[in-house]
Amino acid sequence: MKGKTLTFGVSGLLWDRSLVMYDRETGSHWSHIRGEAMQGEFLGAELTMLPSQMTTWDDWLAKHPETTVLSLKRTAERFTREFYEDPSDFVYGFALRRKRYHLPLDALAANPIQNLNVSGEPLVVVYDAASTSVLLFSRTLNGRTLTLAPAGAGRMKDAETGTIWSTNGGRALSGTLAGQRLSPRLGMVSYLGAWTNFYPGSTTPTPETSPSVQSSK
Amino acid sequence: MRTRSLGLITLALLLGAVGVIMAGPQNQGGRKRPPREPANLPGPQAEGFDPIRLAGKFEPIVDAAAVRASEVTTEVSGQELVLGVVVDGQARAYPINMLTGPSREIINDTLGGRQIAATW
Repeated sequence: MKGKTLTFGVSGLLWDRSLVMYDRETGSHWSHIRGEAMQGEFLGAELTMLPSQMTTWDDWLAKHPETTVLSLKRTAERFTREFYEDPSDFVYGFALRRKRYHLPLDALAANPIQNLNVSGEPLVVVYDAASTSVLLFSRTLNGRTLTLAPAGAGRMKDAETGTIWSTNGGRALSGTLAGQRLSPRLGMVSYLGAWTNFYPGSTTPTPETSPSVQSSK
Repeated sequence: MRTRSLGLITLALLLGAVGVIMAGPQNQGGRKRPPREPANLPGPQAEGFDPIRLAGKFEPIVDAAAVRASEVTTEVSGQELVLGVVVDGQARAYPINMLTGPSREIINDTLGGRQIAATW
């Protein structure tokens, strides 16, 4: 912030049941979910969110064989997909043009590839069941908007060219567009309660019906 | 609430799962809890910011080591969740099993030459 590198700690405070961080340099307090300073010298400042994802170690290592790994003492408890035992407790939340949107994880598990049109921008949200990762991409590539549908485990296909894409990274594996990548968008998995608490105006975009998914309605 | 855009932002925030992440009873709705003290922070603050104090502050984690994937044995298993990030071509995984407990929920780190905070 303003050329200064900050060091963050857990403040021991709770705001609306959400974590409050502090920076050691000024003692300002920051909302964890917003990445925004709520008190102190940096009041109003916002941190830059970087693209990241929650996924399984297997999936991450397969995608990034050269990855490094944090090395702290681990707890005995295993944090696997069981963490999402009740997927209705979680949402995938994202922002677009200062508005907030969220997609419940149980809806994503039931309908893992959703073509969205949010604020006029065509997006695709992709849930990969094997890794439990959720990713959001633009589905416009080189001026053309694609419509994606599931195509087997870990795969999706666009109706416009028949290209096969991976669901855990948005990379085109075979077909006309092989080698291309969908452009990722920022988003995060959050508890539903926390997300709607902090973003009460957040809405759930309705997916477009994908060509090879039959609507039950 | 006003926000300002900043020039050089040298700290970036990664967000994996967020929300009610303080471990323990404060996550449980419906149970009677002893009343918590308002934090009463000094100075200017955003409207509506009224945190309560549950505990004293925890020291930041700043010098946690990172190892190559090939060195990993029992620290994280294949089906365990990690928070993964790539900065300037450098990939790093933050196993959730290491980020538990209030003191560990934010990891200050340097990756790809950038100062970042990994948190969930």
